[in-house]
Amino acid sequence: MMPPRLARLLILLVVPASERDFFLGDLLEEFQQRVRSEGLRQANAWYWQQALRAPGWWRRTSPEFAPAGAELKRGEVMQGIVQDIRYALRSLRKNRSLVIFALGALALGIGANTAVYSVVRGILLKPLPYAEPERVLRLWDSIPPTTTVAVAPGNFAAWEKQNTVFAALGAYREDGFSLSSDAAPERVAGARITAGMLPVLGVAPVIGRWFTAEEDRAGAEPIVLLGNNLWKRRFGGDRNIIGKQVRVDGELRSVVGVMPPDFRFPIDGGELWIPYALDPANTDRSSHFLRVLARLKPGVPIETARGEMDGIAARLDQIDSSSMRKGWHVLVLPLRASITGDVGPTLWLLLGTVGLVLMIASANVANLLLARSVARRKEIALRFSLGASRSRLLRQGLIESLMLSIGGGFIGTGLATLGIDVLKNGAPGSIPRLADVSIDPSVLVYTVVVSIVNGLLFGILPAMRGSKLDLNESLKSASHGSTTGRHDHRIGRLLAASQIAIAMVVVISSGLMIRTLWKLNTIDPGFQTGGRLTFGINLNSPKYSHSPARAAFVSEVIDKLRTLPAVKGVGATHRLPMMGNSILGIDIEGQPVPPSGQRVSVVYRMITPDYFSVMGIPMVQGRTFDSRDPQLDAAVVVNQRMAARFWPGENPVGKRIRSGPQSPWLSVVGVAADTKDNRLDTDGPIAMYRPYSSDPFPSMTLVVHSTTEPTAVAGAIREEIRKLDPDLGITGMTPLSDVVAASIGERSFTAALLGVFAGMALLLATGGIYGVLAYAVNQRTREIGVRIALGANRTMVLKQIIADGMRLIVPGVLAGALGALAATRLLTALLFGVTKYDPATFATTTAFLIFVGLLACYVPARRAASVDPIVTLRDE
Amino acid sequence: MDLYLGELEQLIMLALARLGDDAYGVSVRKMVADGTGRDITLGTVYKTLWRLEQKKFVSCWIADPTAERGGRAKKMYELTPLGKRALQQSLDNLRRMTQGLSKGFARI
Repeated sequence: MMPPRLARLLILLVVPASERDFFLGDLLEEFQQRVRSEGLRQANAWYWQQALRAPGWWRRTSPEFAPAGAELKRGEVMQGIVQDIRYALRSLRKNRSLVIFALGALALGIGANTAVYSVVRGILLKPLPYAEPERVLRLWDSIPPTTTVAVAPGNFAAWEKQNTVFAALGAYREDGFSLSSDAAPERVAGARITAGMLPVLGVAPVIGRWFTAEEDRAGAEPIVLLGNNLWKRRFGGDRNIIGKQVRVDGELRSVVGVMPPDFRFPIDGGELWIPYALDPANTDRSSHFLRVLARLKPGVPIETARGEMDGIAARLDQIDSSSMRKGWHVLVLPLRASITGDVGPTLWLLLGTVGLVLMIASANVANLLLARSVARRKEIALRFSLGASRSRLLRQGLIESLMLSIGGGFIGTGLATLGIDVLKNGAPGSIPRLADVSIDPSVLVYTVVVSIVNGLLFGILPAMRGSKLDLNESLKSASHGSTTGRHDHRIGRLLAASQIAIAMVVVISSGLMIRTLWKLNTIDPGFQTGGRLTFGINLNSPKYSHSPARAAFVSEVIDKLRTLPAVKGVGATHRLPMMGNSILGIDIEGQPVPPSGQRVSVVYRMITPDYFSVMGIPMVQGRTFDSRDPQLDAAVVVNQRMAARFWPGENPVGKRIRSGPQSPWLSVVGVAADTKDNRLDTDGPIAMYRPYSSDPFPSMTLVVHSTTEPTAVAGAIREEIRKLDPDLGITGMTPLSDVVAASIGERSFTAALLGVFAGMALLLATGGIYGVLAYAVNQRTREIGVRIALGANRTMVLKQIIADGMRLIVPGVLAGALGALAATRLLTALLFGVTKYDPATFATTTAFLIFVGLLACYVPARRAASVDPIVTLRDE
Repeated sequence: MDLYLGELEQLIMLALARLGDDAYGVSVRKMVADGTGRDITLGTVYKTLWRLEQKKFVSCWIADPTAERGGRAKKMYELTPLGKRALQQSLDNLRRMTQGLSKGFARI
């Protein structure tokens, strides 16, 4: 075990040479003992403490050890630093182009880091806006390992009564409401929630109050809670709104409270909440539609809650013999994990990538400063001989790099602010908590820390070079510059080669993602998307409380829309593909009923008869639904997968299925082609279709097929629906192609970001190669001039410089390719249709980087070849 | 010659006296820590030993490096006769000053 390297470095810097060896030896000895007795962490902490407390002692006790200038009193040291800052400003002002380039590179690097970190912070790190958020849990009904569904009301009621681990339990159901007060009706996302949700979330309204348990009952006075945004947007932030009446889904409700601005109900964007009025006597355990949150009692670990909830579920299973499925468990998750889902790895990956970009940017600046410290060696030698101490020169160098880095951080924060807006607008809706992303104080702290650490890291090398000198040699040879600086030059070349290597890793990663997207876009979803516009309607208001009214309204809407010009067909489904699935357990006639807990589940969609033709889903066998069919309600259409699974080699038409022993048999009338029901990149499930009229859902999605651009008919559709029901709002009017694109939204977004970062990496690395070569050519101008004067061929000079560049580019590219082999493992989960070793991507990127490298060499090479020997020699 | 000792100097010289020929940074630090509960840093030990060296109260020699120390040599310390006298005098002073103190300090 070795002690922390940085701490050791610190000791090297502060402990005088005469004591250093003994001191380090003693520290190491005790460190080893501590590793054995207390573990590495403790030992490391101890070592750091020893290192950090070492400097002061030496300074105060041993004047003869301390570097010159160190005996200055505190005030004098401060004054020295102010002097150094002034000096750095003056010397940087003389190097405008260096400052511009360095600030630009650092601003890009630090800005990208700030932007991505603010996303990581907003989504992954920021606590949820609830009281003691770590105690808030989300509960699901589940049958391990695969089934996780919303909670049945019977289960929720039982949990509420029987649990001893939760301080509170609340349920809700996300919903869209049509809000109509004075202004035009508006669709507002929100939820029906139970009164228990207040103690679960622990957030009080800013004005007014939450609703009471009494108001959360059927027949109670209707009330509504408003989100802050809605309140400001729709009611102009009226502070006297409490008690006023608004119309929600056609029903008058009085406003009882307005929630605070940073309140986020566990769905992003919900801004209106009404009491659920759930019937506590409801024992239905088979319809799963509630979302349930709970607050742990203080001090109760989540494992205890898990144990108790599974116990309750098992008891319910025993008592309730009517339930079709056994083996229910309760899935208990921390709310944060359940919201964040699986975007974590992607975000960390992006943060890692921008870290690499910053490394390239910093290497650039380090190289510039290094070149400058060589160019300034005469000045430095002069200052040395006038009595400046090495530590003072070192400090000055570091202050210079710190100023550049902090300046870059400052500009970068500005860039990041712009970048975050772009990011928020471009991000797919599936990314949670995006509204919480902003540059808050903790992001600024991150930026400042990154800037400072970065400034020290890239500054240390040039500062050390700029403070260590062989006086005689420097003063003698500074004007010739043909033989000195070999060592610096090597470091510079090493830095440039590393830049290429890092850029290679980033570019290959983004290349793999772009190939992934390209593959995804060639996938056939199984239905047509061109010219299809989709939107949702919610038939929640009292006048649609009877299902015949809903069925009648939907067919009326369809008939009306069909008459619009340019509309070729209109269909409806209760759920669009890629917008989630509904699942039903079924039995197959003539096949043994599997033991409980292992019943077959299939995805089902309620559709209108025209759905298949409107979506362009071909019928493979049989027919679709026919509204004139007297047996319509007993008809079912299955997809090819379902046919192949249950009736392999047989004609499925005429076969019968049912959803349980008490349910009527349904006959298969046709087989439809498979579609991608989940996402573009996964195979569709076993699925079946049922006629909408057999069970009219209150919320339906309509698909309108037009001969024009899908959005061109949007206005006409809205107008028609307003004529039919002025209170009815329309949700999510989107072209079907966008729905499909959204299913791979996270991948597209990651690919786009990686592409941007790869562009930055490439730009910076190219600048790096160019800088190193241009500098080398500059240093060798005299030598080249002499050679040309002696008859060297200009083409030879050109070739030589390019070859020189290639000696740096090719190893960089190769090292980068190796690094990429290791790094792309992290990408595996995001790739589709390409392997992480995709030869095409690796080959193209290698060729591309070498080509870009060549370009970067060409300019300095041309300059070298056009050196005029007369001019250079005269300069001597 | 000024023979007065600071408290830390006194503690460290006592540690040297107890450690005999095994007194170096680590063992001195440990002895003081074990005996007084004061977890002083190695830097402090070095600083104090360096000052004692200047006053000629301690002398040092270099011992062989060991593997455990990453091959680095040890700097061993011992009290000089002058140092022993200073320590003795300092302890005598302490004893005289505590003699006859009332009950609360009887244990001294």
